[in-house]
Parts: sequence; structure tokens; C-alpha cells
Amino acid sequence: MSATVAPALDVRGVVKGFGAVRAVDGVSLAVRSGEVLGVVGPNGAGKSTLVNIISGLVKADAGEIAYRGVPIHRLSPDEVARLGVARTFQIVKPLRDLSVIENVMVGALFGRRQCRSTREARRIAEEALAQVQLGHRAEAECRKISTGETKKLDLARALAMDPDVLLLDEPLAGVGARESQTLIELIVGLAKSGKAILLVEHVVRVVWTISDRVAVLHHGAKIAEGPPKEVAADDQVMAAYLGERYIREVLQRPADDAEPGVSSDGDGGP
Amino acid sequence: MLEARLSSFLREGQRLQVSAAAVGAVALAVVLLLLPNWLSGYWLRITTSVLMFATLAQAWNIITGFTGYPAFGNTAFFGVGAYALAILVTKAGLGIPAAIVLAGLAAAAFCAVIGLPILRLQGHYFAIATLALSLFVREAAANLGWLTNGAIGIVLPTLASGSPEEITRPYYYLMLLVLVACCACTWWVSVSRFGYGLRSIKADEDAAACFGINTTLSKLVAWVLSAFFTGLAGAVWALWITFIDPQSAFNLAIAVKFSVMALLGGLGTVAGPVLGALLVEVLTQAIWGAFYAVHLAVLGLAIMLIVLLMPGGLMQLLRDRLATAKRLLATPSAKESWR
Amino acid sequence: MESFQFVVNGLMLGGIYAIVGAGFALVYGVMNVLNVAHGSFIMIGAYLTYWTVTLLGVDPFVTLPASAVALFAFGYLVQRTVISRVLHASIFMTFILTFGLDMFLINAGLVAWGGSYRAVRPSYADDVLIMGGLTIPYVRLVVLVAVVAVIALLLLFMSKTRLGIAIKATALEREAAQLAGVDVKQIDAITFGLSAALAGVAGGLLAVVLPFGPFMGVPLTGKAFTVAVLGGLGSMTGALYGGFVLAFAEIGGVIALGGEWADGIAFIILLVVLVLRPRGLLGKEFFAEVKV
Ligand SMILES: Nc1ncnc2c1ncn2[C@@H]1O[C@H](COP(=O)(O)OP(=O)(O)O)[C@@H](O)[C@H]1O
Ligand SMILES: [Mg+2]
Repeated sequence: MSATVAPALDVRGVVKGFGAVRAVDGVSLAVRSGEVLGVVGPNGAGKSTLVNIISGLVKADAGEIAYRGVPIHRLSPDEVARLGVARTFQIVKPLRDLSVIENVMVGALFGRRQCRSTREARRIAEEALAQVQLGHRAEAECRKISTGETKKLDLARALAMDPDVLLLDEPLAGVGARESQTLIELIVGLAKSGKAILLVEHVVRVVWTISDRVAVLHHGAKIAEGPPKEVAADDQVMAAYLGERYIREVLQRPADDAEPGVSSDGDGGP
Repeated sequence: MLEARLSSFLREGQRLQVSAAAVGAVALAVVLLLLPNWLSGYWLRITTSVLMFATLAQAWNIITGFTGYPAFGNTAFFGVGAYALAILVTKAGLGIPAAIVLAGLAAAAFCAVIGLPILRLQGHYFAIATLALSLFVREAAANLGWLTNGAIGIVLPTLASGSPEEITRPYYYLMLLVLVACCACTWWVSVSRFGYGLRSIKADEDAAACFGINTTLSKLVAWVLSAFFTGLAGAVWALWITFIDPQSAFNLAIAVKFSVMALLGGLGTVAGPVLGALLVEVLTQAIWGAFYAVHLAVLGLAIMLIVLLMPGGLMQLLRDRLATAKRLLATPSAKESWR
Repeated sequence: MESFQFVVNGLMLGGIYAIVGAGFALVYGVMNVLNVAHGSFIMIGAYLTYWTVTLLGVDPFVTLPASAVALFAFGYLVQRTVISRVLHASIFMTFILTFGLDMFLINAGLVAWGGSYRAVRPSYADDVLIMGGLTIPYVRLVVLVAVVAVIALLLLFMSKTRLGIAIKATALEREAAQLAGVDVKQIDAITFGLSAALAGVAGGLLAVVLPFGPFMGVPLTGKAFTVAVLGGLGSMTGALYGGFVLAFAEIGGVIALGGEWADGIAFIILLVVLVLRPRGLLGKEFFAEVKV
């Protein structure tokens, strides 16, 4: 990858305040195609707000965001989505009154793909549901599926949008251990296929094992960034913001027996 | 083996269902076209009124049932359609068909202009803003005498003469045409890409935007469509009653009535609003005839009873019944079906 | 002179709107129910005052506590027997249910009392108070005092009594209130009763200043809804402000542009307020939720 190519997603100096709270405080990040950038940080660090800002749902007070060199921070959420930046939600948003497959069809119809026919959209939706292993629930009403299944549904809809950049806001929270493994493999595969992935996750070990780089947010500011090993070696950062225990767990266990489903502070569990 | 037989039986049943629906539609069309030949003037008027309210309920369904925006002030477009027609016919001397279409377009254009600021509001705030709009337009109609004749109102020419049946007949067919067009449009909404966008907006507008839906444009188009058909119904209504004034053309009781019909029938379905209009209008007439002095009270009690008995609306009830029936058919052992 | 009259009338009308709107907003806040029959509760209050005054010859203002109690009982019963059955349905269905109730009550009023307009005229109806060159009808002054007293009592009740605080808590966080030991079903019924009682008092006050009939409630429900929305739906204090805003807008519209445009002006003000402040004057985001 040459350094002269613009990153898929380039966030520069983004600031957002809610009243007295500085939810995001001058954060800069870049995600390249084929790369997973993990974003971690304690609750309230500003991770979801950052995702909201990139997707256009929240307007930043300052800063710039570019998608493949094109500024997108003044665009509305639907324009951002149609360009190819898809997102999932920490608090999932199944569209009630629509079945599972119809939820996913919405992604195919209105995302970057801009499918004109509902039949074609249904076919794409079926594929996306198969990718997250939710094909068997296609016709279910989305109010009748489990929390873990709504998470998968959310991801399937984002995939059906045919995104180039994927913003995943805690995609594994509430998903069972075995299913997490499927999703992790899927995410790694997506990155390999060339998508740029920004992964916000509470399950620290997962972030460490599958991210190419990790950024740590605290009180809205980025306090560290780099390859997982280096950030983990930054004792001070880790001790201060993630707790000693997790460093030990992460560093002492080899990556390949990493077991998903462990949450850094317990609120990511089902 | 048995399962295979059963599933082929069910598939056959589905095919039968489809052809039954086609036969039913043709039969319904024939009946509706011939109906004026069989009905008395009194019943023809009531039927025409059912068609009008079905149109209004259906048009409301597009913005409220599918998009989730409770536009109780749709009477504004009804009145604008009625006034546009009256002015085009009496002051501009336009032919009836052109005047009707233009009246619908006038209501749609009016909606397009006021739609953007009002659609920024949600929920009850949107509802009350549309009500305020409707009342404001009524005041405007009452005070812009040079255009509307103010409180005096406008008298329109009649289309036909003769027996009560013959007088009502043209309006019946006009209303039927408007209703069919409105239902066709709603059906298209219910199956199209555009409709998926609207249903997503109803479920969660912010999320819908993140999935690539241009929410501002989609809801505006939905409301403009709703206003167009509401305006058409208003135009035909003005022709029908041959005299309009601000109180009757911007009557909020009309809004109450069509929303009750759509809600009792079932929002977000194509058949619901039409069935609701039929149910409420027939109920109203029957009760009016039987309990003249206390018909309001009896109708009120009937409405309360309907809500208590089927709080999900008529279509929900039918769907539930159908689902139960299917479940009974699909589980031959009927082990878990009987609860 | 004119401006003084304007202020007195605005305060009086605004106070009545505030009482009407606060009751409406309370029911919405606690139960997510838009009570279309609210206006008919006002109508019943007006007739109660009328008949007590006519039959017993007492002062109309003395009847207010009695009609408040009667309407509280009525509202409580209506909630327990009917409204409570559909609290899980969509807000539109409860809307239609109370619409049916409204039709029933109007017709009942029509049958019981006839369609003619009535007015309550106390013995001092024509007396005026002359203060430094200003004349104020004595009745209006008493209405103003009564309005202020009712609002003060309501605010005291809501902030100082256990019951009032429980109502507020239920409106804000139903589940949390339940966990804290509040019997929310009982609170629902009491809130509905309280709302009806406020409507009854407003009806008695209106009967003294305006002629009324069985249909008087229909526009008043519209005003209640408007006032509640202006204030931010679900916020009782907001509705109190909303009442005064609406009243001054209406009266100001008449003075500024003459009678014809009065209502039009009120609606324009409402539209502008809504477009500029999409959540009403004091509304919070979560009050705007509507389940279709
Ligand atoms: N819409 C909002 N209004 C006010 N404060 C908000 C809003 N959204 C987020 N915040 C605040 O911003 C901070 C960051 O929140 P968030 O981005 O959700 O953190 P994270 O996702 O890292 O847990 C928190 O203090 C939160 O309370
Ligand atoms: Mg978050």
C-alpha cells in the first residue's frame, strides 16, 4: 500500500461538545482499505459519538472527514451512506413492522448499491443473511428475534449496502460466544476482501487479535494509537484506562486461543 | 410423505388464493360499475360518501400509515382542492375534468410548499402543526374575499339533472375513479422501493437516513401524494354538493372521521382504510336511522366497543384469524394449535 | 384602559386555558393518552355549576369544590372501567376510544339539558369595580382570583404531596416509579380523576363568563391540545405557560387585526413556535414519542 494513496476514511481534528461535555475532543484517525482499525476506550469515551459524526448523524463542531479524499463532513447521513460508508448501531435499530429479510433489503435498496428492483434486493439480502448465518430467520418478524440476532441483522443490512467503509459500533455486544467467532471471522474476511473497517468494541481481546491498529479514546481524546502490541506495551495507558488485569490477559495468552465474549467492564455482555 | 402431500396441498391452496383474489377483484369491479343501477338515490349518496371517505382515509394512510406522520390537518388539502376547483370552474371557466386534475395538483403544490418546515416536526408536534395549518387556511379562505367570496361561499353548477339517482351518478363515478387511483397508488407504495423507504422512516427516521434513505425527500413526496388525492376528493366533493364555504370545506369533523375510519380499518395496509370507511359509514347510517335522538351516543358507544374488542384494528384482527387458520391447517396433529 | 382590560382578560382566559391544558397534559404524560373527551368534562363541569346555582341559589364560586369532587370520581371511574383496558394499544386507538366517549357525553348532555345556550349569572353579575378611572367587571376579578388559587393549589399539590410527586415520577419514568413502589395503576386512575376535576373547575369558571351548551367542549379540547403542545407535551408546568401564551395570542390577534383574523393569528403563532422550537416551549425529547 503506497503512502500517497488517500486512506479510505480520514478523520481530522474532530470536536463535538454536548453542553459542558466534550464528547469528542480533537480526534484524528485514518482507516485504509483492507485494514481493521480497533477503537477502544471506557464507557462514555466518545466512541459512539465519533461513529455518529462520521456517518453524518451528528454534526461535528470542528474538524474534517474525508472519504477517499472527498470531504463528507457536511453531507447528510443518507448521502454518506450512498457513497459507501455503512454503519451498525450499538443500540440496534431493527425496523419494526418489517420482517428480517425486508430489513436487510432496505440496505440493498438504498445503500451504495441503489438496487432498483425489490426482487434483486431480496436476492442480495438473502446472501447477506447467509453471511451472518441468519438465513433461517429470514421471514421472522424482527420484533420476535433475540438480541444477538438483531446484532447480526444490523450487520447483514450494512453488508447489503455494499459498503467500502464499515463502521461497526460494538457488533459483538450481546452476541453469544460461538456466534461471536463466526462474526469475527466474517469481519476479518471482509477486511481481507478490501473493505476498510472501523471496529468499536468492548471485547478488548477481540480488538487486539483482529485489529491491524488500535486507537484508544478517553474523555473524547485519542491517547494512544498503533499496532496492538505497541499500544498494549504502553503500560501507563493500559493501566490507567483499561485496567491491569486485561493487559495481563491479553499479553500472557497467545492470540490464537483468544476467547471472545469477555468484556472489559462487563457491560458488553448479553 | 404426509408432509410432502400437505405442503403441496398448501401450495395449491396458495395458487387458489391468488386466482380467487383475481376473480374477486374482477367481480368487485363489475359490481362497483353497475351499482348505481341498483341503488336508490339515498343509498347512492351514502355509497358515494363511503367512496369519498375511503379516499381520504387511504390518502391519509400514505403519510400516516406508511410514513408514520399523523397528518390530522389533511383537511387543509381537502379544502384547497375544493376551493381550487370552485375558483377554476366559476372564475376561470375551466372544463370539469381539467379543473379536477388541476385542483388536485393545487393541493399537492400547496403541500410541497408548506411541507418542508412542518415535516421537521415529529409525533404530536407534527399533528398539531397540521391542525393549526388547516385552521389557518380556513381563516384565510374566510378573509380572502376577492378570491374565495369569503364567508358567503361559492355556488357551483350542477353536472346532471333528473331523478335523485341520475343526479348523484356522475359524482359516484368520479369518486370511484379517484378512490381506485388512490388505492393503486397506495398499493404501489406498499410494494415498491419507495414504500420500503417510507416504512423505514416510520420505524426509525435517523436509522433510515443511515441506511441511505433521503428521508426529507421521501416524506415530502409521501405527503404530496397524500395531499394530491385528498385534493382530488375535495374537488369532486365540491362539485357534488354544489356549494362550499370555509366552514364546510375545512371542517375538522371530516378529519376526525377519516382518521377514525383508517385507524379502525388498519393503518399501513391497502385494504384497511377502505374497509374502515365502509364499516364506520354503514354503522353511522344504521345507527342514525334507528336511534335518531341518541344516535351520537350510540355511535360513540359502538366506537368504544370496537376499540375495546379489536384494539389493533380490523386488518390486524383478520390477519390474526387467518394466521390461526393457517396454523391449524399446517399442523395436522394439532398438538400445539389448541391453546 | 384598553391595555389594562387586555391584561385582565388575557390573564383570566390564560388561567382557564392553563387549567384545562394542565389536566390534559397530566393524562398524556402519565398514560400516553390524548383525551378527546376532556372538553366534555369541562362541559359537565359547566352544567354542574349551572344547576347547583339554579336549584340551590348558591354563589357559583362555592360550587367549584363540589364539582371538582364529582368530576374526580367520574374521571376515576372512567379510567378504571374503560381507559385502563386499552393502555397497551397504540395512542391512536385510545384517541378514538376517548373520541367515542366524547360523542356519548355530548349526546347525553344534549338529551339531559337540551341544546340551548345557558349562562350563570350571579347576583353581582353587573357590578363593576372602579379603580382610579379603571372599570373592571367584578365577576372577572373573582374568576381571576379563583384561577390563581387553583393553579397555586395544583402546583403545591404536585410538588409538596406524596401523591403529586408519585404522579410526576410516573410521568417521567413509569418503570422506575413502579420499582420504587408506586402503584402506577392507581396513579393512572387518580391522574385521570385529577384531570377531570381540573376540567370541571374550568367549566364552572367558563360558565360564569361565557354562554355555553352541550357542544362547548369540542373547541376546548382543541385548545387543551394546543396549550399542551405549546408547553411541550407531557409537561404540566409547560402547559401552564402554554395557556397564557395562547390566550394572549388570541386576544392580541383581535386587537391587532380585528375579529376576523384572530384565530388565524393564533394558529400562525402556534405554527411559528413549533417550527422554531420543535419540542414546544419546555418539552423534552422523550415526550415527543408517538407510537403509531
Ligand atoms: N445526544 C447527546 N446529548 C448529550 N450528551 C451526549 C449525547 N450523546 C453522547 N453524549 C455524551 O457524550 C459522551 C460520549 O458518549 P458516547 O459517544 O456514547 O461514548 P461511548 O460510545 O464511548 O460509550 C458521554 O458523556 C455521553 O453522555
Ligand atoms: Mg458507545
